[in-house]
Amino acid sequence: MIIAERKSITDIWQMIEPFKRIALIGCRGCVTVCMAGGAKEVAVLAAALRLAAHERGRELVVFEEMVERQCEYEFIRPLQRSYPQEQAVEGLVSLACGIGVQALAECFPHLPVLPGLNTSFLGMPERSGVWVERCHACGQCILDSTGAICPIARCAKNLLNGPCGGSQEGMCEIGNGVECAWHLIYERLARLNRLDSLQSLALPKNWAKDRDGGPRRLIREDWEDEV
Amino acid sequence: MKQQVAVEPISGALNKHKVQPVLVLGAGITADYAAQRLSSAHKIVQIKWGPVADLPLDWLLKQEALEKGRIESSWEKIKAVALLDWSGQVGEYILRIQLENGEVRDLRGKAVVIALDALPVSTLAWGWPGPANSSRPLEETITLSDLTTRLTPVLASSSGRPERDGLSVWAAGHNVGILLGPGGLEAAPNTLLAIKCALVLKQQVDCRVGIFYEELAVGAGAIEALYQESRQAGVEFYRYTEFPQVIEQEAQLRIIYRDPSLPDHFPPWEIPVTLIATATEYYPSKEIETVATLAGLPTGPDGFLLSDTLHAWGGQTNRKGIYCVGMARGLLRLMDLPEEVAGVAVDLGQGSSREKTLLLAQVDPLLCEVCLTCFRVCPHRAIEITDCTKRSSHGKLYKQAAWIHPEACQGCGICIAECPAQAINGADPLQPESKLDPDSGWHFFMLDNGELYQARTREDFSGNQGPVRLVVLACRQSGFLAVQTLTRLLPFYRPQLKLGILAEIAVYPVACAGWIDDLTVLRCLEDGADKVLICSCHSGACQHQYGNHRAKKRLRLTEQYLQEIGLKDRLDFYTLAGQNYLQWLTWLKKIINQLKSH
Repeated sequence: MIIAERKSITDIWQMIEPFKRIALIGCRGCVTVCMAGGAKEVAVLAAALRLAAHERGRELVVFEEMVERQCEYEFIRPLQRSYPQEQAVEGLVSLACGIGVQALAECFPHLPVLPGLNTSFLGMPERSGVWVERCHACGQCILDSTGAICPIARCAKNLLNGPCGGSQEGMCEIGNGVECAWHLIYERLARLNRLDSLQSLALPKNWAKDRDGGPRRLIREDWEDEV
Repeated sequence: MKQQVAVEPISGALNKHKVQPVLVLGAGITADYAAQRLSSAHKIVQIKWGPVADLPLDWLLKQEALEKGRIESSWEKIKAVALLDWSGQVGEYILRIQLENGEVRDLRGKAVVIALDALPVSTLAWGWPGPANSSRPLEETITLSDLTTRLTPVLASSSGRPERDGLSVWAAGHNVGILLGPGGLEAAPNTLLAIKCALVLKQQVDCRVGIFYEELAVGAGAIEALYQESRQAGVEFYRYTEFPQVIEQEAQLRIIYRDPSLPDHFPPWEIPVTLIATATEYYPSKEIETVATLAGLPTGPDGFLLSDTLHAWGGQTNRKGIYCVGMARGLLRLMDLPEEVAGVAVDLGQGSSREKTLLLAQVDPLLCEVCLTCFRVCPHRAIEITDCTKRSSHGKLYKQAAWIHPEACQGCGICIAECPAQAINGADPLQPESKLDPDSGWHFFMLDNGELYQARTREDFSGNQGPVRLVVLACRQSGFLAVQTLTRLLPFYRPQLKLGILAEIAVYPVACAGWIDDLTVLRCLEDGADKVLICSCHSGACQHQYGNHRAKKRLRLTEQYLQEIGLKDRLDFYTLAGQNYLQWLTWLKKIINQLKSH
């Protein structure tokens, strides 16, 4: 799941400064689940902005909209009918991940689209209210050799051949409650009786499949649209 | 997460499943007592699992509580070695147990009564009070329960014709020392036993008896009267701060006792005894921990089930259809066992004795994003994640949705406040009925003379808008009770008073402070309130376990939110009990005065 958090109201307030009529567009996908851009967050932000405008004697109309998944054109298109003209709203604030913001912008070429969230990482809730990073989307999964614990996403240095000297009693030296991924890998492999898999040296990773190779694109030819 | 098939909403779940038995969990004295009592009206399956306490109920409970009722229904006993799983809801709970032969079996019951004994740990087992200089097992040291067993014939005879034969063999002329462990009120059953034994020994057998204690729990039950009687009869009481030692000298046991009221340089007393009886200590067993985890019941700081939950009376727990009686809540609860079991019997008979919930939360399956927030947060474990066929035809990514069991829901509304998808609905207390009645909130005016008046009708309220407007959201269990009391004391507002209105105050009841979220507060402010006041129960006194805590944490964030948009001092939180109406009034007046001066 994509984890995101709301930008500060001050930031959002500055972004919408030029506009008198805006719409907040939430997403029912990942950002609802991580409590950043669901129906509740949209309603709360809208109420807060209205209140702030009222306090400052500023004219501001805030509409609230929800999209099933903001990363799909089909789900956004019904919105185009709500805001067909430039006069309807002057700007859109997307409460989705960065993907949603861009998809929205592509569907509304005539409107400014602003991000209401900071997209944080790919992760999961460790416990109620705490989300942790689990995947880096590096494009070449090595979890088979590391006991299903990712050293790319969970080691601060992306190390491939064991921990560095900053691993202290299972914790990473960067602090913040981050566990040393390689400590976890060692413990898990020991439990599985598979420590021998650490004997083989991992060669330098092909980072071309990560972001370093430029924006990525995935094509399934059998599904690719003919038109 | 357990996957469960959606059950049709049922009403009176307990009554509809009359054929199902009541499961009684426990192997000891608590379970036997509870099963015996409840079997007069219900089919009982007793799962014999867990420790057995060595305490004589006939010494601890009143005579009328011990009279055995007629067993009307069947009382099946199944010995289990492990409790593996606990699923289902009120009306049908399913307990998966392992039998002695390794077989795994699912037992179904309309309700479950947790009647586990606490784990007895004899002070003798610690190697104490064996004398430091002797390794032989001492015949002269017995447990308090053993002493009661030996004294039972004496006690029986004391009510009728005195019969002292049989006891002179071992007891006459003894010097008996009864050693109570450290601990106060929670050890009341041991205190009661000690005092009763001492009285019998003193009055019937003519022994010299001394009771050594750290804190004597005379506050509970009828111990106070017995304590006075025993003092008058000549039982000696020794209060210690340092646990007394026992030594053996010239084949004579001596209790080394240091009087805490004497200066340190005074030598300790040596009290010769011929018999020592020690109280058994009771601890929460690992079975209690297992039950707490599997059934989702909270434990108190002492490790016992629901030991610090104020609202769980008469055996009730945070989950409907699950009861907890006796020692599983701590040793002291053993004294309340008859009342608790009677409470369970009443609850089982009625379906539920609890007031009809004011707010029934319902999930809209098409809005639910299965984020599991409600599933995780529900203090009553009323929420299940179920398959929902309706969803697939609406282009939903997930086929499942949260579903709130209508019988298990206790209407706190915590899930409504937490749901990030706004998929859960409940009655909205901010949309009161058109007429002014207690259920839709109360309205007050503060006039220029600084006094508070009630608004008699809604028209009174809407026509007169004072300069200061307050919205009070008050928990029904605390703040609203306080306001309710105030309405009986405050005069009604009359336009003839010819005084200006300084402030208007609207008080709305909420099922629990946990229902209040940031959106509610913002909406109130949007509607023109100058300040929103939240009244909740005291910490640890929430009927829904942590509704007040959730509200407080959530609203601390809302306060930050408000500060970000430049609104300061627009939200306040007040914890109070239902009877604190005068404090509440003082607080309210203080806030209005603050707002006035702004």
